[in-house]
Amino acid sequence: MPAHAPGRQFRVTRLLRLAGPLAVAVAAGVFSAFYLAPGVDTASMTRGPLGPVVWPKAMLACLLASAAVVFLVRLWQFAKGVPDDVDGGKGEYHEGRGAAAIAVLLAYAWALPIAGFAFSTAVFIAAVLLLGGVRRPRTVVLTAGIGTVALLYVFVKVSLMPLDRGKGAFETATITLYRLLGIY
Amino acid sequence: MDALAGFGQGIWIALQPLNLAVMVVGVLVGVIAGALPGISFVNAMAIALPFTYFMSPLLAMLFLGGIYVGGVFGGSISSLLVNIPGDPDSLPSCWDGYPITQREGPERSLSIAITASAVGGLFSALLLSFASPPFAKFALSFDQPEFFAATFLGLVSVLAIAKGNLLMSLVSLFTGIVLGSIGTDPLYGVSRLTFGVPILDNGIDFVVVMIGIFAIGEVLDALAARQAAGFAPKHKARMRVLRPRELWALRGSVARGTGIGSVIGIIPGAGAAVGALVAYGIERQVNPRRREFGTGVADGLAAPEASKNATTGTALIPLLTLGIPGSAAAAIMLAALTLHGVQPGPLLYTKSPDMLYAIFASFTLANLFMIVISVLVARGFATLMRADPTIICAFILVFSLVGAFGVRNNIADVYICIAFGILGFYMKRFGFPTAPLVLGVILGPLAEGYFLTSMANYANDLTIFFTRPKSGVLMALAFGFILWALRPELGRLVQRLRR
Repeated sequence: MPAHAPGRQFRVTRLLRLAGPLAVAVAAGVFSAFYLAPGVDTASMTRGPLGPVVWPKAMLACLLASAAVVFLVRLWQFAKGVPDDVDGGKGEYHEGRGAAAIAVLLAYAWALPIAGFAFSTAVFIAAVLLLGGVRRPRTVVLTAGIGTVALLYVFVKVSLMPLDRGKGAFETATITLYRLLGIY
Repeated sequence: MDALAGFGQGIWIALQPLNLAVMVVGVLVGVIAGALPGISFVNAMAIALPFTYFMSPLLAMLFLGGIYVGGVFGGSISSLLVNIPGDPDSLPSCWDGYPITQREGPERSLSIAITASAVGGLFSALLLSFASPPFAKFALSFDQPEFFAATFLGLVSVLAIAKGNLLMSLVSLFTGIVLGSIGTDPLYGVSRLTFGVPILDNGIDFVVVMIGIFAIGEVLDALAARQAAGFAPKHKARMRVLRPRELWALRGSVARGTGIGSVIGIIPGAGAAVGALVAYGIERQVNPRRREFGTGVADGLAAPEASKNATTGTALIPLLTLGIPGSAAAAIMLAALTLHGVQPGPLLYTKSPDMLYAIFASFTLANLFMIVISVLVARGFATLMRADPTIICAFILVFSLVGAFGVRNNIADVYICIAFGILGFYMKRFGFPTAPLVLGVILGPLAEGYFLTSMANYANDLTIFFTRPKSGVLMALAFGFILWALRPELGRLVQRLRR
């Protein structure tokens, strides 16, 4: 394969760049038609030419129009083979690591109310370090452990924020940890 | 209050030990964040925002103002030492600054940069102190149509600086305005685009949007980016303030940069990056040594440095006098004020003059402290560059999510913040600018409110925005901006028609 031949990732990125504005345009149209204020008779409460949904409707129309133009321009570029500023082919991004970072973030958000701030944060910091290429176990454990304790002092002891303690055994364990640290 | 007396009083308040300490810490955080490639001063301000929940409004502004002033300069340290701009606004500093570092050593380039930046920043802070009170007095005569026209000007000026990115800036801006319209409408009390989710009735808090886009989105981007090749400064970094004779030799470029930056700072939507680029561009046109630019001309470094810091003070004029943030940094400051129940606008000048003058004075002092702090940070820069960015990323993510939670002590805001973080990551990934979205979320509801009340007060007469003199001038400026933004496209169209 020639050095500059577009790879699979490059093609996927270009297709995503086409799909993005199209999805925005379609979503704007659907929201404008069905989800502005469902079940509310906005026409009857309208005084003069303006009502409660006029502004968002106008902005959704503008969004639809601008996204549609972006889509058409990109479609034209795609069809004509015009080079654009797609970065996928240059290999500046590690797609897998990006997706994994998002997954770790979502898992942290999911775990917060269940495992509580203290435990989920320690695991989260360790996961991000591993994801970022930190491999020394001592560095990972110490950073996650000391970092979490420092965060607990700042947010719970100093700032008195009502951070989640988790449910069931996690709540008991969090309270025990807070007592050990002298912040409860 | 007389401006001079007010400024003196402001200096006294800003010099109180706690106020001074918070401002100095802010400048230190800003310079360090600015110096680290990948963390801009806007990111640093968004990350620092949650820490201001527990401060008074004045302390919050001193802290964020310190980060702003320090961060705008901080980016130049990495530009000049390793030829990697810490922030986009420090890019022009690489062009002539790094060749100076290579030829004459880092002391010369860093000294030019810090002196020019301090001069620009000080002048801008003094303009903020003495020019904004009369402007606020003038703004007191504004009615709803004028406020709508000013907000409209703020919205369209985002497009005027979207060189080559106009369509994508439009998509970003309208997305932001639509997101800003989620929740109960300001006049009729109807829930819109809430999908039956109760927390959305109150709308999406723009603080959560900003933390998501500017902090989480950036960190995701840093984690997903392939590791950059290792780099470390080759030079031992020292800097000093230029001697009067040396500064006098650069007087033309520093004065031009300062003037350009001060004017660009006032324009909503522009900012330090535009200020630095325009100042470099103009210097390249008018300087006697223009043909040597790019090879290490001192004027080519001094002009953008003076300009970017000259935007910092004047950028607060539209925010404090009209309540309209013209840049992402100003939007974060607006968030800090509104979180404490302070509504910026002309009335603030009569209600809380002490706080305002203390903010003005702190901006002046921050530019002086920036010199001392930058000297220390530059010396420790090699150590700073050895810190593992992954560790910084992990803690930024936790700080950001706790910050989002702290807005309303509600876990739903954490989820919304993550959603905007992912959106910000993909927007950056596919070339959509994020700043117009954030400004859309902030300015959209303001524009809608002013528009609807104008219509209610003036019998639904749409011409009211054009027939009242002040709003007419503002609308004319707004349409001027639109034409300016469309200029390249119109030029291409005319060329095609001629062919």
